Amino acid sequence: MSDQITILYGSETGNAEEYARYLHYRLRRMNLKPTLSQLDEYPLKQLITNTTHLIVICSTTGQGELPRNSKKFMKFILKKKLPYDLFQHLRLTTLGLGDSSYTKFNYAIRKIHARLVQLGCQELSPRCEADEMSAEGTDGYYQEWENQLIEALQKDFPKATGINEDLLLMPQYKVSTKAQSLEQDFAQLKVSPDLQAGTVVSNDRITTPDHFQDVRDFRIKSTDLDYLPGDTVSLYPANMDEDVEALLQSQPTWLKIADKPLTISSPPKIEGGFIPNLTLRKLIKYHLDIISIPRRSFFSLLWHFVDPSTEDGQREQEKLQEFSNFEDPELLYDYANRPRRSILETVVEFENNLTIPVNYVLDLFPLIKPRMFSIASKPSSTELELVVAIVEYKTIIRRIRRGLCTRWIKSLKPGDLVRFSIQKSSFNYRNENSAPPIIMVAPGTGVAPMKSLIGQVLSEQTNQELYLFFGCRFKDKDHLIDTFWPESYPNLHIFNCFSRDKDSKYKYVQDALFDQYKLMGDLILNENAKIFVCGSSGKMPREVKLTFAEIVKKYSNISDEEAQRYIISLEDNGRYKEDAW
Amino acid sequence: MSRILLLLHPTVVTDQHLVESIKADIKNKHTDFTLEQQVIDRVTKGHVGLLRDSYNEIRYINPNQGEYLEMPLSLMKLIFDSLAYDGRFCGDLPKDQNLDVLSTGFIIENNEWVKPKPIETVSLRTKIKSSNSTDGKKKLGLLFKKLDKPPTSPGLTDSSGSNTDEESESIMKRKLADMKLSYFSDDDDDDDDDSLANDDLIDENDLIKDIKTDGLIIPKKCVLPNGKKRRKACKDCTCGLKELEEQEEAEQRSLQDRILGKMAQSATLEAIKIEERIKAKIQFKEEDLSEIDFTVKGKTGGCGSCALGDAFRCDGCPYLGLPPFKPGERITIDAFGEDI
Repeated sequence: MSDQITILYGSETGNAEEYARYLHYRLRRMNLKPTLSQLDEYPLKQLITNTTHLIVICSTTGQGELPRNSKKFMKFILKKKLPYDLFQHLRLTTLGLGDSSYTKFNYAIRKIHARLVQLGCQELSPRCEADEMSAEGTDGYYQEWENQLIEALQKDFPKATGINEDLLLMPQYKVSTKAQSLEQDFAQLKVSPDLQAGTVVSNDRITTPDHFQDVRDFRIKSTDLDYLPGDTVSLYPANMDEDVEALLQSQPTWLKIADKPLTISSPPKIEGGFIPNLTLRKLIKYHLDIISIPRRSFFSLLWHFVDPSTEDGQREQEKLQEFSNFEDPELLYDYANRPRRSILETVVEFENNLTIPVNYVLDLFPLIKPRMFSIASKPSSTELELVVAIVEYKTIIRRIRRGLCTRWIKSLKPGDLVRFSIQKSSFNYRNENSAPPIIMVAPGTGVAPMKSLIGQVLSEQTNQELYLFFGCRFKDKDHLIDTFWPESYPNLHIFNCFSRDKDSKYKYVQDALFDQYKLMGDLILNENAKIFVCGSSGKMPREVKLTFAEIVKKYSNISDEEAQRYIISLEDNGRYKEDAW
Repeated sequence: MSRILLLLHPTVVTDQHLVESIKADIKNKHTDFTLEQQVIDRVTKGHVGLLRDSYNEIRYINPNQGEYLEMPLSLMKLIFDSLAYDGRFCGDLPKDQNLDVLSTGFIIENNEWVKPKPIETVSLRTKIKSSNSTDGKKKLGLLFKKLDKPPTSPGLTDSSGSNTDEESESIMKRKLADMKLSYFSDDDDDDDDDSLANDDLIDENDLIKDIKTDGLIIPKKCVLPNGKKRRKACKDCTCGLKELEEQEEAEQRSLQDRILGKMAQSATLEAIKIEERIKAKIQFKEEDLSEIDFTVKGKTGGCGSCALGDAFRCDGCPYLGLPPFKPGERITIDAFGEDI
């Protein structure tokens, strides 16, 4: 029976999830039994039937938006028909994670909090808007928020104790193995029913070998595909076999049972579902992110598994425990985040005195999350194409750092199996009775969805006018679109911008746009053009939007304010769409 | 003849004029009636008991606005019980608690709450009656001992709490919960709920204006033990911090290069010595070896913890970023893997 304390989180990059997990551990160490869930995974009826105390932790992404795993929740609470005392029985506190250098600082949590209060929630303890940019970092905010929350909970729950750091909690998701070995090889069954399977057709580097970045053009063959320009695909990556083996080797007790059938009692709900016929080896390979950076919640459990009976063991246990608390927040940052150390490296580094019980693996290791990519091919039922930049880092650790997904993609060879799902986010590129011109601004791999759109429009043969502003560093090294359209088409107009080529006419997409202000102004104001902007988040989308405002201002001789309002109206009417990551 | 009860908020009592004008208003509307008046606090606190099923009209006078009109379920229940069938509760009623009102048993008509004749709720009512056959006053006194929690909302309703017995309260709660649950779809994945047009949703951007930003948590000022400020470079850093970090990393790598160079050298030296040893059949003592090989036990680096790995190394340690080397354990350059 839970204590009717519910912790819900909305997380895009994992920070909000980390705080939620950490808080969950902390409350459990106070003899409380809270429930932890993503906002969208939580059965909302339980807010009525199983919740009296509600804690929401949520980050803000993009332009004041909610993380992807909280949109369904938001859509529900925004319903007008909800009565104003629906949540009168709930006591609420919230923690937002944001960055005050963005104008829409912590907008996501503000929206959630305001609406929940409208629906009757009472205050449990003061809410908090953590600021990544402050000297204290989000950790500083979290600590103070947690202090007050814990005080409030201690008042409401007389049985709550202080936080007992030494308590080793029971595993939440008990993992156990059966003695007999698997009778068959289930090699064919690597995909859960929620996902589609495909095979790699090609995986080619499309930047020159001497260019700093490896960008892949990646094709997958499958069946019954159904997608439109603008749709995205979620890829479910897997760990390298040698990494899985290294982890198993570091835990000799695991080796013996690695290939026995494995059961999980009350498994967590995960995107895409667990693969069928699990073994420990498969669980690690397909579901546990052992390449990610170890977080505080990881250490807060890990140190319990060190045998302190030797001097070495004691020293190692103390060190791991230090990483799990806030006394010197910089310590963990320097050890793990700055050099991008992986969980696997940490476990191996401490393996001598570390014995992790198998039944804790799901509590300890974070789960692999799918990665989303825009589809680059025009609609097809049998094939899809992606343009993926491989991200690599150099830190003080000698081995090159790569994320789990890019490491996996880089290793894929034709014939390899991939698991994926398709999400709809199609471009609305035509009107009911007309095909207005399309202006596409897409530096780097932002060009992927534009490739799909251009392919589709060209195949429709409607003469819909297409204007692509592409940007990269060098004409000869990372000119990704070089081979995309070998022929020329009268209605496809391409403006290339090379930021590092000295003799390039345009350096940045903004330069080309502004230079073409007469054409752009005419297309936007007289031809009803649609604008799609896609690429890496940060400065680019902001500056492109400012450039469009300048264009409108110069073209029709209006004030700054009027121009900006005009661009906002385009956004509201769906004529200006931004997709940045 | 109708019995009318005037319930007054404590702030009204001092305003004799207001009370008189209300009484005059009642006189105009009714011909044959008796009028009683009570201060609501005394009722909710149980100092005064109200008779069951007896009033034809209860009128509530509360000059406050908005949230201060809020009424606890227990008070609603109390008023419900005191009203005669078809009796009305009117006046300054809360506007946003209709769910509670309905769950108490009232019917809402023209912004007044009407107590209907009993039809199917008999089972509930008889239970209450059978366990509380004595007069109302006694019941109130008894039940208020169960007050276990300080009230949470401000205003009039502050002084009240649960006043039904446990059994009916739990039924009440269940009824309320059932009613609330009707707002949730059975299918948790009502993502593609097409019947839900956008105008059935409130505009989330309007919520931003609604939020109070006072009373927010402020972190304790933190001074790190080493006097450093916690800072990491932003994604598109322009202040130079990123370059500084990159420079630190480059320095670290060149420190590592020097160490690795030395290791390669010492490996060659060692190979030569081994060859010599085989030739000359001379056994080296451990101290001799430790001159060449820092991985030998006893040679742990200046501070004694370099061998233990990054977790234990000092700030600026030349080994930072290299794997731990257990004393006595040979390390090879291969151990660093593909990327050196």
